[in-house]
Amino acid sequence: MNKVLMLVSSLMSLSILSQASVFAASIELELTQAKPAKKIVKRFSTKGRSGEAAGSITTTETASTEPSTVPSTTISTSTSTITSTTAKAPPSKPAIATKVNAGTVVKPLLTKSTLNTPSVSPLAPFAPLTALNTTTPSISTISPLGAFAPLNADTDTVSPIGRWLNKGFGWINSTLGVKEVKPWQKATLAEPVMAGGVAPTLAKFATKVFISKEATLGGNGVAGGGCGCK
Amino acid sequence: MNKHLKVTLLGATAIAAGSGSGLVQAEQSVSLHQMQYKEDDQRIKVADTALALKLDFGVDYSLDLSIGYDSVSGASPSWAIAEPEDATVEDWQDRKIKLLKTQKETDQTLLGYINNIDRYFTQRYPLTDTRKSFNAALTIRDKYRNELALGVSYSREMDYQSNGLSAAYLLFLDQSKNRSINFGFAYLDDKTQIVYNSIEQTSFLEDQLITEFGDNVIPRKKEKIQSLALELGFTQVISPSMTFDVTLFGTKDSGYLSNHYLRIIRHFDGNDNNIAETDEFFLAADSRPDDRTSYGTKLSLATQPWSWLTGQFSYRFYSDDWGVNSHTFANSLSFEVIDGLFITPEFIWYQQTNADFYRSQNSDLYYFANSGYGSNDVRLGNFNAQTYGLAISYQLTKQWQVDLAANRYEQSNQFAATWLVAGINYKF
Repeated sequence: MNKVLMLVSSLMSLSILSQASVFAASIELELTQAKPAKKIVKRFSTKGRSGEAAGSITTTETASTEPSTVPSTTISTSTSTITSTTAKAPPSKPAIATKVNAGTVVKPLLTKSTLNTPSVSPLAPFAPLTALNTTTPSISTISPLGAFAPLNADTDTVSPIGRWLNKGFGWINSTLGVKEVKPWQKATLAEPVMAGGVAPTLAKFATKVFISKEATLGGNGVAGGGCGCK
Repeated sequence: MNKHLKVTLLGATAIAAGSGSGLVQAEQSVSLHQMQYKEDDQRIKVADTALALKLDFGVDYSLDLSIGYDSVSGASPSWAIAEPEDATVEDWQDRKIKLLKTQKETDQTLLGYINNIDRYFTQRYPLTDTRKSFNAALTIRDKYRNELALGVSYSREMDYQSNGLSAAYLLFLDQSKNRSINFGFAYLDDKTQIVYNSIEQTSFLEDQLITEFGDNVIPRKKEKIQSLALELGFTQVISPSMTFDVTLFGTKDSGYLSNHYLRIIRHFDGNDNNIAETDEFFLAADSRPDDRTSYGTKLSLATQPWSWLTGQFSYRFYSDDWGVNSHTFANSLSFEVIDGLFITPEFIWYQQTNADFYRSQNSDLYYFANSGYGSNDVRLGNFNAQTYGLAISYQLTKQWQVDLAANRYEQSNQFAATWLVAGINYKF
């Protein structure tokens, strides 16, 4: 009797353990298949020189965080099954399993295709970054007109005597910290209010009054400046 | 005729400056402005009208034309003789003889005599005149965009005529055209008709002087005046919104530089007792040197710290061999309150020292010796002046612009004037 009881008890314990292991396996399955596979079935029918083919393509996408280096396509017909494998695949693409069922003529849809195949593996070792060049290019090397502007336009835009005289004023830029103003930066300088007044005639009238009521004149006439705005 | 000289010199030089600055506007334009000028104390009134036309021929040639017409009316104060009501023919003959004898003792022009200094007084002489002027300047740009401006000027008044030539050359020194030199000159060849027409006996005596004393006196009738002005300017662009100019200038005037509208009082110590007795004073012509050399410099800064605010600031120093020195500070701020509407307040402060031969008419020692230069012209005196101005310019459309301005001018010697300007511009 005791033996019978022990046997029954052992069987019950074994049953409990078995149910427990099944539960554990179920949990493990859900953990490893957090996202169920997506199955897409596309039916086709085509006619070619070699005959007709009809069947279906079943594509199974398995979401995986691991890059799949060997996506597979399975074409199933009534006569054979062909599996093609691409050499490389982007890691972000989900694994694709395609099954073609039924049909009579076999025609591979994808065979060693290079379409959408990246030329550089994103997993290639990173190249060392080069230091950014944050200095402003000088006018002698960069021109807004690119290849149309000569690198050194002095001889074309400044008269010889102007270039000669300019040698005597080079200290202005260095001493006073004056930076070169480019021609395309002179919109403000070309405004009438800067270049001689919005209404220069008003100043001429005033000057006539001054020189008729005061003993001095000069400085308002021949000489003056140019900003190169025209 | 210092007044005439200055005005015509302005006409000759200013138009050259306008075309040679390199800052003139690209648009072709025509403008019409009129100024109404009025001095306090009912003295001089001026109505000045200016019509200007600017034309571009391609990008290498520009032509500036302007004509002006101004009329002057009012009265100008100067010394006169209050004739006694009870004067006899014998008194008149005695005065004439005294004047002719005294004239032999001096190279200055004597215009009248009365044997009582209290009879000399300041009288307002009526003055009316009109002036017509014409200016033209052609600007030529070479392949380096350097500019040569050639100008001519002409003006005519009742007693004055002026012909002028001017030239200015703007030379850029660097490829970005941030630095330039400008040099130029203006030459005037003027003529004036001298008329002492306000005192009857003066005209009579002048004829007698010429007949009886010949070269011993200076009977000036028609005189020439030559003027040569030179300027050298340097411009530096400091930043995309700031420029700086420095200008050196010099002027050489020669000819009749006196003012035949003005008179002075001279003392002749006939009995050599070193005492100024009441019967030893004579009416004489304003007398100034026939040459004048001046020079000076002007510094200018234009800046636009914000798109709605532009400032123009300048300082000028002037000096000449007559002893006149001056300082001028000019400041203006242009506010673009809305698009195309500019309101510009302006303030100018001026100070000058007097000429060596100037004496104030209101001072105790207002008269001069029997020889040497002398003038009571307040414009040669020691004073300072302030000018307050407010200008409004509004661009009605892309083509039309109206200008309005009001100015008040006050000197420390009690002289003051006001002028208003209205004008319209059309760009095409």
